Amino acid sequence: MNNFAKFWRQFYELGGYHNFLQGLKNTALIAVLGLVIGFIIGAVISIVKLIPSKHPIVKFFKGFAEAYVALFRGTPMVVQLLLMHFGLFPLIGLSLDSVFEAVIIFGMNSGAYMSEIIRSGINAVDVGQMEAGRCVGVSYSSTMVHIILPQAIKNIIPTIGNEFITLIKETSVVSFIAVMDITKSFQAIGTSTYEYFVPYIVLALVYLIIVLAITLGIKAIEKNLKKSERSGGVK
Amino acid sequence: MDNVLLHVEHLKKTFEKTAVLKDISIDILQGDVVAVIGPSGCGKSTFLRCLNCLEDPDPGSIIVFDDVNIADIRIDINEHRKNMGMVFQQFNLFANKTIIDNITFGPLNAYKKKLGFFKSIASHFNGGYKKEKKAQQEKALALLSRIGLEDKAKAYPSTLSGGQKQRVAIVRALAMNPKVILFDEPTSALDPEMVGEVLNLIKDLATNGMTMVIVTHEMGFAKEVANKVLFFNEGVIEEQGSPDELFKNPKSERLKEFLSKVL
Ligand SMILES: Nc1ncnc2c1ncn2[C@@H]1O[C@H](COP(=O)(O)OP(=O)(O)O)[C@@H](O)[C@H]1O
Ligand SMILES: [Mg+2]
Repeated sequence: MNNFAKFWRQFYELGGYHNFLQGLKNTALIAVLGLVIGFIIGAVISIVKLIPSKHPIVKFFKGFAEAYVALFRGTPMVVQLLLMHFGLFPLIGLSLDSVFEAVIIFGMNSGAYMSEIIRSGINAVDVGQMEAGRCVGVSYSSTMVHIILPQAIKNIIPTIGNEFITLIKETSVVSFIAVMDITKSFQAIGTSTYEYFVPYIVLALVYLIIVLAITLGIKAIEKNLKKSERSGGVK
Repeated sequence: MDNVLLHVEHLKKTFEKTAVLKDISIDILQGDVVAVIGPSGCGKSTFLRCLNCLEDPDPGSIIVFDDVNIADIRIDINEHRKNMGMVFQQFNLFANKTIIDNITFGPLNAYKKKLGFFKSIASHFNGGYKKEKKAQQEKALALLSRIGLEDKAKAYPSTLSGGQKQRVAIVRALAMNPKVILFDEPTSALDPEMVGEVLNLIKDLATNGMTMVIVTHEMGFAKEVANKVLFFNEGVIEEQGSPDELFKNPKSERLKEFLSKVL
């Protein structure tokens, strides 16, 4: 039996695809929810960093935000995963489903990167936009929410797309805390057939296809956004 | 004097040790059209931006507006900015909003603020907000038709010409029913053929009695529309008076030199 036939038998006839589907679901769940949580954390951190105030409370939060970003950007994802799963979570008596744990840790990690992305997006919006908002009596925070952030987010959609792709690829480390993801599902096939080359090639192809599909999706979104702002008002 | 709209006293502004405004005092009266002229870098924009506290004046400066000293950082400046419109050289229309939403954004925000947090949320359910929005949109459309741009209501700013953008920026300020409008070189970023349409709109406002402070390089316009001209030089008001006094009989050497260059 050639290697590909071995793979196919294990994947299809012996039910390896159940793992794969489970893994696909978990990978998607961790990456998508991680991105959403990361965005929320990132938005809060970037705004805290940008608040033009020297108030002691604001300063405290600014310091916290700096430390958070330094910590999560300064250590590898796997280390964060291991540290929290085997160290911090048991220490504080938190026992969660491993997939849910992974979602939280990926979200926290992504939040650090996302804060830098959002901050650069906000900085790229012309200062005149904030001034114009303030000049019709609107507060700093309302102008931020209604005028600056929408434009900033539009600017950074391609970068957020890249962050999403990075997250998907990084989810491959969750097998360290025993979560079934795409990588682990193909590893399991190799373990059963004693042949790793074909499963890993297929694994690589699966990631490649997912990433290409997302890239196309982002391009489509970008194009759509550009079009809407060029509309001359005739609906 | 109860017709003083803006009372400026000992206004100073320092950027990192450079004194840009050095002790400026001036009263702006109801209905005044004040032209601010002077060489570039002399502090005209800084003066204008201090009037509505876009730049915080140095401590000790006094700007009385709405019967309070708005230079005092403890007051809620948003309340007073509602009554003080501003038009920028670069238009600064909200890029993510349609023309009509650009105009209604400020008034609708003021409506929500007046109601307070809970009532403003409630207003989304009891029809109050919808009613206010409709009223503001009608007002915005009326303003747009005044400048002949009602067909652009649903367009985005990026589709408008410079002259159109600036006229929208002016009616956006008008929609707040301000007591005074500040203009910072409103025609300097425009192609020459669009300068006229913007100046005509400002003249129109002047005719209707709007109080305005206009930083401008258009001396002809200043002569025609302003009743008071301030000549700024190196952070002080070097000379002030009616357009006739300043343009026909300049006293200081600096103003003579400046006029010889620009006229
Ligand atoms: N935010 C700022 N920080 C530091 N210096 C500034 C700032 N804004 C203006 N200045 C300086 O203040 C001076 C006056 O500027 P400005 O009021 O813009 O002049 P004008 O409008 O008359 O051309 C200039 O020398 C300028 O470099
Ligand atoms: Mg200027």
